[in-house]
Amino acid sequence: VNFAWSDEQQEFRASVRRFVSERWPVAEVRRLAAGERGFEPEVWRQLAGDLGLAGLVVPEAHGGQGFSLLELSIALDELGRELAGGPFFATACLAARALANVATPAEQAELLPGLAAGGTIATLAALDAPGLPRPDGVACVARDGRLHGAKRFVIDGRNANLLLVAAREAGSRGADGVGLYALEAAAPSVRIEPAPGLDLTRKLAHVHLDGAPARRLGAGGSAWPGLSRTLAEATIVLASEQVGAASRCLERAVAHARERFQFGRPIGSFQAVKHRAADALTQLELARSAAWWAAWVASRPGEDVGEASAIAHGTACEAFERAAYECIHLHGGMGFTWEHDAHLYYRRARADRVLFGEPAAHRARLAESLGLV
Amino acid sequence: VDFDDTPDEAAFRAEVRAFLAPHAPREAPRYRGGHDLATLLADQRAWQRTLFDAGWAVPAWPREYGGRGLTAGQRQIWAEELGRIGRRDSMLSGGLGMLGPTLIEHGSEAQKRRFLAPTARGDILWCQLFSEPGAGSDLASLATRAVRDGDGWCITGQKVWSSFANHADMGFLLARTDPSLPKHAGIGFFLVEMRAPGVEVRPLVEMTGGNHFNEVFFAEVRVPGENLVGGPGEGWTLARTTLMHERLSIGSFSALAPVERLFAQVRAQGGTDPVTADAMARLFAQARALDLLSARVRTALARGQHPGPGALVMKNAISDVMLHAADLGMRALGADALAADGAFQHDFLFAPSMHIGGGTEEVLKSLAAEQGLGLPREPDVTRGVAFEKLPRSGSAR
Repeated sequence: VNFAWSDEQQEFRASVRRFVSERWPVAEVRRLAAGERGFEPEVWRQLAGDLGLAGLVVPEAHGGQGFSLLELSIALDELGRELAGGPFFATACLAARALANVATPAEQAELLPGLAAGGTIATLAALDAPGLPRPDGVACVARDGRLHGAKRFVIDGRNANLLLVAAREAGSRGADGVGLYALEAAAPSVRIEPAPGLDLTRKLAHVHLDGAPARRLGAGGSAWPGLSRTLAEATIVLASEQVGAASRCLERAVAHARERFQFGRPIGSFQAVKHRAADALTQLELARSAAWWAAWVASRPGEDVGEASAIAHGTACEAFERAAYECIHLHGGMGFTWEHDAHLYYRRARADRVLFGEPAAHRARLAESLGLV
Repeated sequence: VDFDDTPDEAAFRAEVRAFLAPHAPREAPRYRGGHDLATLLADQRAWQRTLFDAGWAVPAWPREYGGRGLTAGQRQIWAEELGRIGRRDSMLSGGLGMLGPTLIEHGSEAQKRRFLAPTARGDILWCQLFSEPGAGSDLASLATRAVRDGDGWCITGQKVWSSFANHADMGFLLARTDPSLPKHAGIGFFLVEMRAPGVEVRPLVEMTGGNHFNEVFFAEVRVPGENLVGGPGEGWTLARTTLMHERLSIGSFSALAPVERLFAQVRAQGGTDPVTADAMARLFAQARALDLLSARVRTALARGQHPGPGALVMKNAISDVMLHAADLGMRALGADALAADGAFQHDFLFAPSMHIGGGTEEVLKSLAAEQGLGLPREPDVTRGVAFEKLPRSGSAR
């Protein structure tokens, strides 16, 4: 067992951290959250293109960097610290992995280079609404090359120019007949409606499809196995983003507890305060360990990712929610203000729990695979 | 990052398995409170002798002292493979895992020559004599006195929570050599014969109904000068070495082991209800994450790096896992949990000790917050004050 990052991985982490702290700190994220896009195109171009992050896990043959989900999880950990990245998660993780897991080599050669260069912002709308990945969560219908239905709370749905949408053949059930379709956001009969969210810093949209023309990807057969794997991978790298954000919450809470004096002492010298911080630290360290391991599992093609995603998701959600709460609480009244960043993390923490299914839903699946029910 | 065995680790695991296979013909007896400790000890001594004769008695020790100088990763594999044959826990571990490493680091050549080999062979059962009725979490406030007596020492006082002291041959003991110094400074680390005149051991019966711990009384017990390890004021430093090794050995426990035992029971009875299953799946995730955290800490240690704040939260985390596993085990038993004895009754009754022994939950949380997060220390009223001037329990009136 070797739990250490390589020198190259550590350098990569440092370079992302540098970029984020200089160009995309949470203060900037907060400013941009007020707008519809939530990101600055020039900064996105630098992150996606110059730094090459958009194509991090895209094969080199398609213009990407050819790295694994380990590097993707490092990038998300660093972006998560400042809630930064805008359409990074949707493009570099959801869309890039969906294409890798479902599309044919020819389709990948056609679509991935645009993603990797940062010019194409893409997203995946697999289920009709966020939740635990199940094939019957896809009710949108594909008929004669046209899509009918709606996808709610699509991540960066308004920012994407390439939409990857799951739909099923009319009359099909379960995993059978589920396909992945590509369409331009600007295509006719597509209506994209911004969906102002609980989480102010991850932009969501509802996508309405009223007979939108789309092309089916893949070599035929159900796209569900590939989609299911993509969603599990996304759950796993999301855990790293959550761990990064939780770390930052705890750092900020601790920094405040060292400087804030009451009763003639820093409040962080009181045991009651220390123990809150230690509890948050415990959950964080467990979640960090699980997230790294899960990313390693997911980086191995063919390896089952169900158990790893359930464990990483559960521990990361608990750790992030706890740290975000403590960040508010340990800042006292100030932490409750709109002006303080704490609520941005608190909102993100709760929203993350919903995106790919509640931890309890994942646990129910885990309990079944463990033979407990 | 790689969670498989490295080629070196795989080779080592194969070597260990090849060695253990012919030597481990049967399941070892497991300590469950009510077990006859004398029988258990005889069995474990025989096993330790087997290991010693084959050169595997103390693989974690350096080669020059009869060990194999294993890396942190190899030590974990050794522990895992012993666990597979039910040989992970041993009454001898106080000597093998705590006193031995302390002597190797701080003992004189004469002490090493005299004690290390018999300890490795299992001839000496060691017990720890640190805690006192008045010195639990605040161990450095211990009051057992060591007074110079010619070229030796005379020990008077009381120790408690000493595991297996009623079967032990020797003990390693902390005693106050100079009460005029601040509490950490005037402590010595002594090796005492448990059958010396003036030593009285009184077994404690714990809330499980079993006997694991003992009270030990010292009435002017003579200890020769050569049994002082380090200088007369260096006991605290040595004790920290000993306790670090204790924590390392606790850290090598698999958090998944009690969970797997629980799951085996649940599967055998055909599953459980969804609410209990949810709690069990959450426990499984916590235990898996904790085993991963200990692997992370071991990787850092093996590379000579600081293990990070994670190392400071592991003991509390494993205590939580064991508490929950015991609770869920009792839930799984249904009405049979009412019986005096069953699959999880001992675990359930043992569980409250987890957050007390080896550092209480509260002390460890404060330590994690101070050393792991850099939060300021509590103002310390004992700082720089002579031990004999400190207020003690019962003195505040």
